[in-house]
Amino acid sequence: MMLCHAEYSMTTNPISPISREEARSALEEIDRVGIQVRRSIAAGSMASMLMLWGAIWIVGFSAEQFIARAYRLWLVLDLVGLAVTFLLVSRRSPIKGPSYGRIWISWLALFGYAAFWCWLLVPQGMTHGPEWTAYGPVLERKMAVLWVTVCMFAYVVMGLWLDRFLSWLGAIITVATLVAFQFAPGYFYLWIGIGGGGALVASGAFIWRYWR
Amino acid sequence: MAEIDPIIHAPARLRIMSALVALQPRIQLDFRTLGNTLNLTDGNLGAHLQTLEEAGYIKVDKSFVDRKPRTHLSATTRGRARFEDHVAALREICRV
Repeated sequence: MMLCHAEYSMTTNPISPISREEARSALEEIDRVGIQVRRSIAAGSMASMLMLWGAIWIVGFSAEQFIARAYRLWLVLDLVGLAVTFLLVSRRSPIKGPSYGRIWISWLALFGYAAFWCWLLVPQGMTHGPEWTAYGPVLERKMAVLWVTVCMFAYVVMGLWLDRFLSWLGAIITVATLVAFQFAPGYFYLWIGIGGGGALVASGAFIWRYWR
Repeated sequence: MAEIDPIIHAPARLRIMSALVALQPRIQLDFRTLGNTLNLTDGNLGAHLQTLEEAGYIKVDKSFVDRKPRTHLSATTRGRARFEDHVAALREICRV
């Protein structure tokens, strides 16, 4: 009888109809569902966006490796990317609300910030001549590093809210970009295009397959 | 002292509230995404949502997107407070 009472008081709160095990499993379930729903939301639109921008990086940076002055192509790719992203988000997003608009504003603010620094850092009028031949390619690579790291910084921050997977993705691509800039300048754009863009496409496919 | 909420305590409703409370306030989640995430059928999900809506724990917002009906759901302030209370009660039981 004493043993039974001791056993009962170890597992059950005397003022509650719920046992300690039930309470513990309910708390675990709450955590699990929280992660699951955040992942489902991410998979709803983020998987497509990662694959889209991964493909854009592959095309854009690979073109930059082989074609001089490929920034004109970038303008087209970015505009197409933004338009498709807007369509994907507005049609496929599983959530709606005021904070969602703020995500767009955050991205625009970030792009504006990066564009401002590009304008500030590139010497005005230095697009031709011997000075450009000497410093232009390095400057262009630095600008590419700036854009890639700014985008990946956004992924790191988004990962803190959604899932650490995105933070790791952002951090790995940032490190890979800096390594390529320092140690493989000859293949820099191809490295970012195939490595970085490929990582984005693969991550999008992973999210699409396992998080939905 | 925090109390177990009998409406939230039902397993399916606990999962629904967990999903909606995991979102930021005023963010609404699509009905279909919620059903798929929790592996609940439309009928089952609908019945539990009605109970939660009648208790004032969630808000159901129906609209049309591309002429198709879409239902979005969010936890109300009252629902969030009751859920937090419920979680606190569960933690207390675990501590006892």
